[in-house]
Amino acid sequence: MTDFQHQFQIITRRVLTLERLWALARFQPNDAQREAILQADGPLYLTAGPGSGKTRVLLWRTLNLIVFHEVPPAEIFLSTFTEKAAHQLKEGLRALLGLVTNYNGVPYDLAGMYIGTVHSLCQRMLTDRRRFFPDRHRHQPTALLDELGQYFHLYRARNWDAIIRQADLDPDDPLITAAAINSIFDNGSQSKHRAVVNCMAAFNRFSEELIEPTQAINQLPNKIADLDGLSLDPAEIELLLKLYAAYQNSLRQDGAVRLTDFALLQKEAFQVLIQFPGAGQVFKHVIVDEYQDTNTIQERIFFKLAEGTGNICVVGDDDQALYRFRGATVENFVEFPARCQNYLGKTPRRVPLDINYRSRKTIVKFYTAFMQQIDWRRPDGSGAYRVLDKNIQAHRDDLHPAVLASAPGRPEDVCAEIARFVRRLIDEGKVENPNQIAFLYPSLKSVQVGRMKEALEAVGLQVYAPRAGRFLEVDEAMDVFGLFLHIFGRPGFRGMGRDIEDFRNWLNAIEARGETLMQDDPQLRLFVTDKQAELNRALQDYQALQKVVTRHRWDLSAAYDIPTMKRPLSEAPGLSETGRRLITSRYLDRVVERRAQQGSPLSLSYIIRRATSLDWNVLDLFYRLMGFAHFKQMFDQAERNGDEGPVANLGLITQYLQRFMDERVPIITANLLEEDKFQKILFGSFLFALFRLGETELENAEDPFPKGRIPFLTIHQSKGLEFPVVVLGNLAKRDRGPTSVEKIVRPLLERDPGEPLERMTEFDIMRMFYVALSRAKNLLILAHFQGRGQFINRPFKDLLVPDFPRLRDFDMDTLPPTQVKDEDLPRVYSFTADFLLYKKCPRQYMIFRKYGFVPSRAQTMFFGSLVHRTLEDLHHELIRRRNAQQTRGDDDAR
Amino acid sequence: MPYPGELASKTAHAEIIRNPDVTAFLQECDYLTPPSDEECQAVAARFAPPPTAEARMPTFVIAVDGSNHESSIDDRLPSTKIGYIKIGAVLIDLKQYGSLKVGKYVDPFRVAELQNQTSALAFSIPSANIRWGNQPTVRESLRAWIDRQFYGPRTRFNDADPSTSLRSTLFHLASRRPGDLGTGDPYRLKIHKCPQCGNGPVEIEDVPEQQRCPFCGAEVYPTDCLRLWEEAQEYQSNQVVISRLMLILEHLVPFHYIRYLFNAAPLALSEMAFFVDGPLAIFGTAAWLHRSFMIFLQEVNRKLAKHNCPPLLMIGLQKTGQIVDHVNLIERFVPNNQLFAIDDEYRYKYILAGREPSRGGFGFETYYGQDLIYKTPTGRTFVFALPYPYASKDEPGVDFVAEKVKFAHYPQLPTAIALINLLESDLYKNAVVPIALAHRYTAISLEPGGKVLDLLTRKALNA
Repeated sequence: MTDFQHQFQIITRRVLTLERLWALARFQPNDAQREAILQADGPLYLTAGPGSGKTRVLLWRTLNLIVFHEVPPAEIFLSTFTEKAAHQLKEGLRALLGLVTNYNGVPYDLAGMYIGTVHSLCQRMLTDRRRFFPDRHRHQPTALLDELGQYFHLYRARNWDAIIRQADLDPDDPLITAAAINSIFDNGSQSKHRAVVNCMAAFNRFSEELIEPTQAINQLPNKIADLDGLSLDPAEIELLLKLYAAYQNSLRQDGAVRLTDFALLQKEAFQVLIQFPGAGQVFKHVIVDEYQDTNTIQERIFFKLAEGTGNICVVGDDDQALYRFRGATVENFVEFPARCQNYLGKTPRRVPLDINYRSRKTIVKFYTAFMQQIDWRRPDGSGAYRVLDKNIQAHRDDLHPAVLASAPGRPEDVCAEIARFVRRLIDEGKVENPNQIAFLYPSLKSVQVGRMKEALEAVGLQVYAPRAGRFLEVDEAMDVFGLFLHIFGRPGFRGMGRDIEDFRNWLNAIEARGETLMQDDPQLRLFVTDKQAELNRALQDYQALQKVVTRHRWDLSAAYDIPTMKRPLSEAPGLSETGRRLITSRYLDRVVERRAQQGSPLSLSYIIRRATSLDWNVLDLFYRLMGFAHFKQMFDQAERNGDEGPVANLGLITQYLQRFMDERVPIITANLLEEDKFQKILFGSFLFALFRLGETELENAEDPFPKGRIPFLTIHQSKGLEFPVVVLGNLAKRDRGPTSVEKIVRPLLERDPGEPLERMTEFDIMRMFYVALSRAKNLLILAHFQGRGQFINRPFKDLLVPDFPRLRDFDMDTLPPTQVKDEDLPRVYSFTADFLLYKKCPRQYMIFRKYGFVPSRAQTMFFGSLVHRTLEDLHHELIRRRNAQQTRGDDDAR
Repeated sequence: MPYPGELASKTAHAEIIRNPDVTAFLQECDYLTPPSDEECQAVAARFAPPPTAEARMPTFVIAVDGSNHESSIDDRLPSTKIGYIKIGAVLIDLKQYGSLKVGKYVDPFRVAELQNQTSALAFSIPSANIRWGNQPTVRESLRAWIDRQFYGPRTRFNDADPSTSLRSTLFHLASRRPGDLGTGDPYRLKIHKCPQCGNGPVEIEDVPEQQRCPFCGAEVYPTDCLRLWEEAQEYQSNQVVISRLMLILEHLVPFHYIRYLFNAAPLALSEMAFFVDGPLAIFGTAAWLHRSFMIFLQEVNRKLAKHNCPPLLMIGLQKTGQIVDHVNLIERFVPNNQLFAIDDEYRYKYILAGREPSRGGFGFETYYGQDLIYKTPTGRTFVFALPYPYASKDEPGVDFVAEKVKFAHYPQLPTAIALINLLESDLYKNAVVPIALAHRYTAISLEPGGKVLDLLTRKALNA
């Protein structure tokens, strides 16, 4: 080592301090944040109030571990609640570590770091043989079913019948079967759809609670009293457990690839950890964000991973626990110190992150008071169901009113008053864009949502609410699918029931819509006609070739034989010129010969499908349609900084179309066009399922907030977000008691059940409203409905005293202007994915990177990227070798 | 020339002093005369308190100093000489240094204990009557050997990576040269003409292979761009070349650090300060380097600014010279804690004794930094320089001569002042600890260092 080299090492080792990095990143942590960042060893319990900068703390804490404690990124497990949060954290880390590299010359590789949602990390664990499997043998690959995939799996007749049969029900009597299942949950409806949805909810809870069906069935006789207390029939619970066992079998037996769902995935990962002796040593640090929304199985996984080092850091806010419906148990957080003692034998250090940097003082005071409206203490005096000793303080100190209520009144009047006020906010420049004012609702299906929407539209404001009602009913979805309907044709659709009737009406509506669009644009009609002709041509070719096959009595599954089959096929009467060209293609011959030589000859059936398949898919079709004036003007509008709503909706449509291609029909082949098969799959099955399932309002959807429109969100969707102005559009949420699934699961639990069933939903409703109230930065507006048939929850009623500040009295001058906040976390722009794409085409960049459209040839692009990366790797290797040779040569010369 | 062993007369100078021709000559000369008290007061009035902005101290200081010695290979062959140059760079961690300063004084020798590491580059130079490596002449030997040493592993930040050598730094700087002799490609430079045939320019690459002149096929070396060969002597001492090379190296070595850090860990530069001995200027045949330094420093500062970091801090500290002489005359009139940026008018009036102002302002062809005089709160005076805040002295719309003396253009001035205050040393007059340490480390004293080198030379050559 030369003197220079040695000096360089000394400089880079000592030159950087965390404080210096903070200064560069313009981050000034408060004392608690500093403590949370610097505390490197032992369990850490971060109770983080809303807007307390916990994401930043996590970011800097992780950076501190990597840079100053030299923990390799691959030995850090960082679990976030959403992939978006993981992505942001990773990007933030990457940017800051890039800065660090600029100081110390040390490159940091985050590729090995476990950062993501617990599901994605579990999935990774199951395939990470290098770390979690001592034998390092290849294990059977698993394919993950998401919620929609799980639904389709269960709904598919083959699977459903097998499951029913295993549970000793009669698949030949579907109505009675469905009624038997549904009666366990609610009203005994005969809908198979309902039965599938109910089963999914129960199965997932069973998995999350680590309930083994056989064991649970055996235990049932001991739980008769508990079941009786909840009016549950042991026989019905046994049936449900049998169905659960059968469901698990169906996943194992579905083809070559083993299937799993989100809940079972965690269970499987936990099994791997239990079986692997070194599981507790794989990660030196386990960090979990949003810990209040973890479930039982997740808690077990985290403690298992941390048992070797005791380094577990959890961050959360029990008041923001929203995900009981996904099995989340807020007690995991509230009782973390005790759990820590139980699993690790250690008491965690508690650091309260209590300073709120988001909201004005009166907003913080209001939501703090809101939570104190009910009694959270346990009846036996042994503590509380909530972390009580919080002391949330606003960092902003202005004392002007920031929480306003409308004048109490009829919903129509309240909505009109709020709409006028919002109009003023926009007109007087108190917000920079309408999308900075969010309307939050416990449910977007409420009648109040429609009223408010109308009131806002009456004052000339547009709303963005893709989850209000059905997404398939938004204008853009109806436009696109209306044209699809004209191109592919309407499927025959039998059946009865409200869902089917509604869907028929939707089909009628989109058909009419498509017709209107074509009337307005003759070019579009021509395009649709061309596409219809292409489909017809493909179908006719298919039928012509089939006739040849029949005439020659060929077996479709037999190997395609060029000498005997090519000519008769190419001369098929009625075969189009395109079909003939495809059959006689020299390229096809070469492919056939090569495959025959390889011992895997192509079948006649394949050749016919190939010759008659279309060279476009549904996403191609979508993008072709986007070129017509009706859609093009939507992109133009977004590009001119106008209304982004339509484009955002179109982006969501591409995601559904991709889903259709992934799961149903990647390539449109002519055999699918026979007997309306394709139409039935697209409209009758896929879109109908989406239509019936609706959009789950509880999803933490990462929907965009298009400029020019006022976003309407469910409170669940608003989690983790903040807005300059928040309107809580409905202060009512009925406490209907725990869900049937909660009741069913309760007696089967092997753990302390936690919150009592009779208070569970009261707590949940309080937490949900707390999340809504704490999203506001500058102004929080409450819709105060009053009068006949109107109801608001008790805590609001108590707080909305007569002298409560009202909209009509508000002095607009006291409202601070909205400041564009720098992104909390730095973002890394990629050279290829961002810079080069933008340079090539700004509009493409806007579409794919900004609005998240799915490209139609994603696989091709992926393959292209793979080739590109491989070539780049080869280049690097060659350069490395050349340099090494050169250095050796120099040394030899010397 | 004396005979060997002959000693000089102790009274010979008396005749010179009494010579009326000499006296008359001296009366006709222009030279620096001590200013009167009135003039000194007027001069002192030009000083101002230094800027009071908050200084952010660097983490490390690197100070570079050099020393040279020329040695005969044998007492019997006094005209056969080898030159030696030693360039030392001391690295001081200021956090540790801060803990050593107790009260007013710091003993630099105690500080020496915390010197993390000192790097030393030792160069040997064929001087008179010596050829190397089958080269036909002293000049060719000198060219080949200097180049070889610039490329050698000891000059590298990574001994296995030639692109981290001092020679590659020279490529980086030479490529930035303005005008036709710049290449814009840090792996190529131009030599203004071939030392053999005189044709040029000759472009060469930063590759290990020997390169040849496209006009005559003779060997050419990247270090030829320093044009030291133009002053090489075949049969007499090459002390001029040795001194010239040492002065170049005293500036090139800091830029060697800067260039490597800029590539490998650029923001570390925001935590560094570089002390160079002497003014920020390059004289002689390699004076063109000063423009490359200016351009490169602006590139570095632009990158640092992107990350909200202050500009690079480089300080040239003068221990001797005309300005130091001048300061010695006026310092008693200057109150403590005062600063003055020497402008051209002042320099030509009080320091350079009526010399004709040069085109484009003082030091147009040589200086890359502004000289300042600073009297500390404790009453010591320092003459130091900070790099000009421009990449060029003739930027359009900038009155360089007027602007270069404005404190506001030197955002690092408060830090420089704070650093000098922190590091001032009682060891020598106008000394700061890092330079004192660097000097102490590199100085080749006549006894015993010079003698040891003499012995080394003779032993190595079996003379």
